[in-house]
Amino acid sequence: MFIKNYKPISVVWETTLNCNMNCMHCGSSAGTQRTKELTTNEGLNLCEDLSELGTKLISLMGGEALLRKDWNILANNIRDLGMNVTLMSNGWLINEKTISELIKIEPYAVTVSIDGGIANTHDAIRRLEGSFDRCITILELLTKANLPVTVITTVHKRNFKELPLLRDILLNKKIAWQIQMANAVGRFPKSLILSKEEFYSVALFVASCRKKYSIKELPIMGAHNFGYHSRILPSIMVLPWIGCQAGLTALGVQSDGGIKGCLSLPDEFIEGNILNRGISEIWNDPNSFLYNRNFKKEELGEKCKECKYGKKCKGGCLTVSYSLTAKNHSDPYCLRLIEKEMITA
Amino acid sequence: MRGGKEKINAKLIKLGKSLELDSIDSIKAKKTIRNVVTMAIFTGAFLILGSIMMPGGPAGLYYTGASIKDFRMLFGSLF
Repeated sequence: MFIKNYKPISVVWETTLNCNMNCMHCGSSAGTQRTKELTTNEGLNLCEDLSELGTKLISLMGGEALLRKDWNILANNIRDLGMNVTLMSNGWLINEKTISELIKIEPYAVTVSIDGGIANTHDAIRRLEGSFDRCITILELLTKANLPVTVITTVHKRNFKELPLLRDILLNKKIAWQIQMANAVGRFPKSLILSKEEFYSVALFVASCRKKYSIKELPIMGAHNFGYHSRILPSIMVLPWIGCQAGLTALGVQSDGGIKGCLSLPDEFIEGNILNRGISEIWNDPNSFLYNRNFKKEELGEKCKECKYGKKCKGGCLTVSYSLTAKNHSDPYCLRLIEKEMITA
Repeated sequence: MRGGKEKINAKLIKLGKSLELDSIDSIKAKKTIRNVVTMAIFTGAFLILGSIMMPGGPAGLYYTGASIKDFRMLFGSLF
């Protein structure tokens, strides 16, 4: 029997759930650390195992990844093992010393979250006064140090109208800008999720920015939940959507060693814990990540079943699908579907 | 057909207003043959070079924050 050899090419590692912010949209309800988080040695072993499994990129996130005193030991180790490392931060703890460390680490990206076009909005969402101004200063320091900087903006009802303000801040700064939709997971209330019309407006905004500005002026893209296969708009994600990659080429590691195909999925999707079974055993288990590895077109939601891209698309983002419909493979926030329902109907 | 196009344009203009897009910006944002061709080129470039030069593959690009390096790889000389 042919057994497909999956590789966890891109790994997102929640190194700690400890966080110095209390963001209203946090999907993992971060704040205090988990009861038992991986030690430095356990983390180093994990990196070695991932390297052997074929991982090429490990993104360190939290909580706030910089709250771990050993973040640079882990990052250096990832680089020494020949993998790439991305640091995902809220920006608050980045200072001259952090930047010196980052220069040595040569990260693939340093991402800073900015969730508003003005200080009041960003600070209210992140529940930390002064955080917007701090982020703006940090962006300047990071770009001055020639580090590859990305701003990640999570959009919902409270902030999406400020995208034009943020665009004006990021224009001509050589900073990549990724826009993602807040999911109804963690502590984010369902009532603040974008309506389908608002969601489409954001996609239109991204498409318009691409048309209006050169890629050098504004390297902007939508994240994985800004799809899929629109009839009207060009691809918001730059590359074409090839279906949810959780458990196929993507892997999420919780700070306590819990393993999911994607960190944003709820705990029902935990496949095991590396403190009980090695990562290699969990990854290669024929019963792991079946929702994607054994996916069949019949599992698509009714509307996705009718779509000619259904099989390839797998019904969009699994987290959005599950959190809003309690079913896999039927993400209702699909540009093609919205067009069918509201624009071309 | 023409009515359909006008209906789509009218809807795009309405949707664009909430994000300060004027009617020209909203209509110009639509997919064009050029977009389709460019996407085919990017896909080809990714298939040939992506696995070597974009360490996270599409998953890295979508889930963990695209790096400016991804844009450099995909758009090369435009940077």
